[in-house]
Amino acid sequence: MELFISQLVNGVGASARLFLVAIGLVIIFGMLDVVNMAHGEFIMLGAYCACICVTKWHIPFGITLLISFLFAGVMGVLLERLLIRKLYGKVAETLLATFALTYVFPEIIRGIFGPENQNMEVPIKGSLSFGKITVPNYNLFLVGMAFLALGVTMLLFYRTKFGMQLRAITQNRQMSQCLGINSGRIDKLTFAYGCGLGGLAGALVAPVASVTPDMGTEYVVDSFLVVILGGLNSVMGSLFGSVVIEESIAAMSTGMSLVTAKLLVFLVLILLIRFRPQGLFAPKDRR
Amino acid sequence: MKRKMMSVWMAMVLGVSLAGCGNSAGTKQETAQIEEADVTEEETDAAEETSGEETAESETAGGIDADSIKIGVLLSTTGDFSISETPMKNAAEMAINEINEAGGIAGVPIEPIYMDYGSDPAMAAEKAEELILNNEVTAIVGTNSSSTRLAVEPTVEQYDSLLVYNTFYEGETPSDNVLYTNTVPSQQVEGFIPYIIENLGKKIFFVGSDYEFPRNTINYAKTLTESLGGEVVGEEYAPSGETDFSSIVNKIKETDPDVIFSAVAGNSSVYFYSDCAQYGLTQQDTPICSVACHEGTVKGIGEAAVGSYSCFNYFNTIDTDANKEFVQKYIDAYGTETTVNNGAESTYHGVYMLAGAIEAAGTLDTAAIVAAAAGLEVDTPAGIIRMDESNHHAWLNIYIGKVNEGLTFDIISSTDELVAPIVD
Repeated sequence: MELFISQLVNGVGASARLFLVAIGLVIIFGMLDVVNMAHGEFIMLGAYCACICVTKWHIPFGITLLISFLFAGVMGVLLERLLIRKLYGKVAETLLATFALTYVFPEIIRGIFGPENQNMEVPIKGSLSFGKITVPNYNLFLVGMAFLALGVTMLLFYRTKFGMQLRAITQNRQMSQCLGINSGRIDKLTFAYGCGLGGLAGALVAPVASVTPDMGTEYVVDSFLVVILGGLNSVMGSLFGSVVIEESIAAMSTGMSLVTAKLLVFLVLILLIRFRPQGLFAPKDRR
Repeated sequence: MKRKMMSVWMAMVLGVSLAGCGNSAGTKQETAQIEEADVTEEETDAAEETSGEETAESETAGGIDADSIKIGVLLSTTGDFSISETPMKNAAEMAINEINEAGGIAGVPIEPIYMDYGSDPAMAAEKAEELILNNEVTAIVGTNSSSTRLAVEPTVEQYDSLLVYNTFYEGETPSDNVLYTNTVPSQQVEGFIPYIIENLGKKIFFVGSDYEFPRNTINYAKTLTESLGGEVVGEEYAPSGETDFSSIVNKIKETDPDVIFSAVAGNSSVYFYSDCAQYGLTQQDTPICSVACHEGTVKGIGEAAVGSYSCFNYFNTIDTDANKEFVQKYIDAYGTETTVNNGAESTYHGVYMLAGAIEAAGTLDTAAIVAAAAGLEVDTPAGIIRMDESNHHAWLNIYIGKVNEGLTFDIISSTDELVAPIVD
């Protein structure tokens, strides 16, 4: 029993990590209809940025998070201007273009930093113990950051003029343009915000992850799982998606091997998609 | 909405294929390769004829009658395998340059042909074919993951060429056209388990990535543990490339072992060690003893690895003049961006072993080189090693290292004599 509870508690930390990794992807996909295969690369850029800031330049971790967010965001703006802008409305094309980037970005990074791991110490050490249950402090921090990211995103989308314009565009682009909304600018900022969140996630996982040029692929598959489960453009849905996936794996791996547990979760996901293809928390289709 | 969902699925599939390409066994590629090979059979015959003629000529001349000996180096410096293969490629280059500076093989210089296959096993098979047919190489040095080796093997066998393979692997179904210069599970395990039981504790928990090499190693290790009076308290596998080990760490804590025997491979090690530290399993109380975590990985793990043990045929901190010279030479040539590890050293001694075998054979014929390699002794940075008389594998010294504060290995134990390779 204690093992089971302990697994569930661990699952909370894992859920937070998955949510942080996926939220940027959900926003870009949900709002802009861009399948950003390169999302994992922004996580990688964020992680490299964090490693260099902390280990080379000794910048405090809190500021490093901000730098990683901004750096990935700026890279996002560049990418949007140079490539994505020309592909809006063509979902499959965005997928292929960004897929190509999953080869380009790692090779550039490898060229600069070499093929081996970057290393960064965990900034918040120690753990809380309740009997046999151990909760690393850094996991608590990740949970906090997940809620922060969720809160800021919700505020941005539902309490600001930018958010209102963005939601207007996703409902009816032409009409919004007629009403004088600069849709190009909104697109750019949204894409940058999504990429920035990717960079932030990268910086947050860097201390407990293997930071290599190819780390992006490790995260992008799980992120897409969250998108499928949580619904295509629901930020809240992706929070639930993350929790459902990670807690199921954690709970089931008590009694069976991790390999079997993961396999079963994926099977259930396939069944779910068969009967509810729009995901668990998808809003009603508008068109 | 439907189209959108479709594209997500497509993205998932692409993502999985991208993530999985490093892990899948090369069965599919093999079949493709064989089909392809059928098409080029005529070409092959022609190639074989020419090489046959050459051999006949050289045999009459009673020595290697060529301007140069062509050796292909098939290792990736791009893509996700480059983390392990870049140091190997550098080491091969170093060995080849040294041999050429010393006058080549029996007076004939080596002409290396470097091929980067972009970390794609299917591409590796194509490149191997190109090396054999277009470049007419005598042998190919390289490939690293088992998936790549298995994809390349049919090609090498088809054209009766030679592959020198320098990575520790699962030790199954060895090919007659391959010479293996790194360890098989029996060697690491026989060097490691007796030390663990004697010095670190009898209750051992086994953890591995879920594929051939870890499973074979752990099976071997469990048998040896039990026969030496140790206790197997648990066994868990994680999908290869796993990034979250918290549930496995919880299970380990439940059984309260003295030692964790780890065959967690690749970058997963970084997550495994760091999760152990995060969830309160310290190296002081429950040290991890790994057969896959080398110098480069330790750098990536950082302080969570301090106090853990690893077992290989080589560590870059072996305290001999030969090794110090080797490491210094590598650093002078390639800097510290990549790390010398057992893969690099084995590639280095693999090239020397190949050169020795070609020199002893006195011809470029594959069968003659393989025959000459049997029983061949090679002086390496890890001491003198010897190729087995019959099974194409190497007898090696086995070292145990403990990670120190500076994130390098202190050598704490080594075998007195060479350990035999036991292959199924």
